[in-house]
Amino acid sequence: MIAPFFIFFAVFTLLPVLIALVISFTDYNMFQEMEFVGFSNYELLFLDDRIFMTALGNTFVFSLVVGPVGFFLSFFAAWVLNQLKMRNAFALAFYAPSITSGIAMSVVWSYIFSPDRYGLINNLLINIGIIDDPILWTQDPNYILPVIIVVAIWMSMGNGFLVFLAGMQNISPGYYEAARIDGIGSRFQELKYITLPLMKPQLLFAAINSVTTSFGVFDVSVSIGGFPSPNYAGHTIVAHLYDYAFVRFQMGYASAIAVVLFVITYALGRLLMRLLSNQNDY
Amino acid sequence: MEQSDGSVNRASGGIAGECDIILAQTDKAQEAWEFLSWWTSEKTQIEYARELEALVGVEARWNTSNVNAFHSLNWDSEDVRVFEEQWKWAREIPVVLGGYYTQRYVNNAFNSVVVSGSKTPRDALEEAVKEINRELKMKQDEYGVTGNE
Repeated sequence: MIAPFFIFFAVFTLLPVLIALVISFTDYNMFQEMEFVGFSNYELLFLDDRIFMTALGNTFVFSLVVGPVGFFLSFFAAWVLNQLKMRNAFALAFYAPSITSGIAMSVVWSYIFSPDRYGLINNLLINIGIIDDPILWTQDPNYILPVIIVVAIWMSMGNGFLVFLAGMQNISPGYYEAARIDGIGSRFQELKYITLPLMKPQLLFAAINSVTTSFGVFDVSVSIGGFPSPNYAGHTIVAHLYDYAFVRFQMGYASAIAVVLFVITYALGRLLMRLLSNQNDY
Repeated sequence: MEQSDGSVNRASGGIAGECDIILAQTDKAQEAWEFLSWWTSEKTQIEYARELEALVGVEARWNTSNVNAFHSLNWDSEDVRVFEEQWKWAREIPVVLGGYYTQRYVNNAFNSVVVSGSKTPRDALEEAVKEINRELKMKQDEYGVTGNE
């Protein structure tokens, strides 16, 4: 009965992971034969690769900010929206950025953050008189990561949004009425005692989703910071992987990076499950 | 860039060129060659360029692959002279194993000196050269150019 699902899962999910695992122990550049090298890829990765450490740092900062902030923002937006009348129009407005591709949105944002005098922010600041020269948003290593984070937060508002909205609409109003009778005063108490506990599955789903996708950020960082970004300031783990796989043609090393990323996101996912899930057998 | 004997070296790279290749694995090599010879011949290129310009307008006046064909199109003779002079100076940066690193680290060095001001030029260039050499050597070893497998 579960055979169809299992076949799909095995072929499209399990098999690539296993192949990546196998290739990560070899040295493979697609022109010459695969050479088994054992753990040397991992040794190099953890002990000798300073760019990877930069990428790890960047990605962690990025995820720690974008993951939770995007999560809370989308929850807050869903909560506010749940009580408005024109729900569908607003919901579309909030969700639209997530449907469009990351690169398309980044083009729009790179106009706002354009590093010359005519970029919208620079223009505004210069006209007001706060600064004299345009700030090089996408070229100054100090500014690249914050810019990417801002854009990614904006784009991730719609991530769990629909799920939250659906979850909130599933809570029957009887609960709220009973609570009102029992003496709940403000909306925040409502939120804390009724909405959040009843929405645990949705919270779990959205949390895992937002954290794991924020670890795989690549298109946003590349379209804003360039590839590779100046002094690797916007370099994320996936950008590092792409570099090794498609610019340097070292598939073994790239697979090692992929396996490390997989382990990180898996561990985080399990941690979130333990924190947020209902049942004990998760 | 003025040279030591007073002449000016106008070499510049970054030319967005196109080329046609015939893969060695094909079994239709002779036909491919004949097709390409026909396509890049003067007559065909002139015909194509003229038809394109007739259909789309002056903006479609394009750079034909055949130099002789280029002369026969409706370019200003003054413009043609300038173009020919420019072509003489077209020199592309040679592609070496690991060459992508050069541009990357030169950019990084420039950035750390000019934009963020975090390094002196000497430091930045020294580190850049070290990294570039390391990568070039690694790639040469990998593909067996230097013989140290």
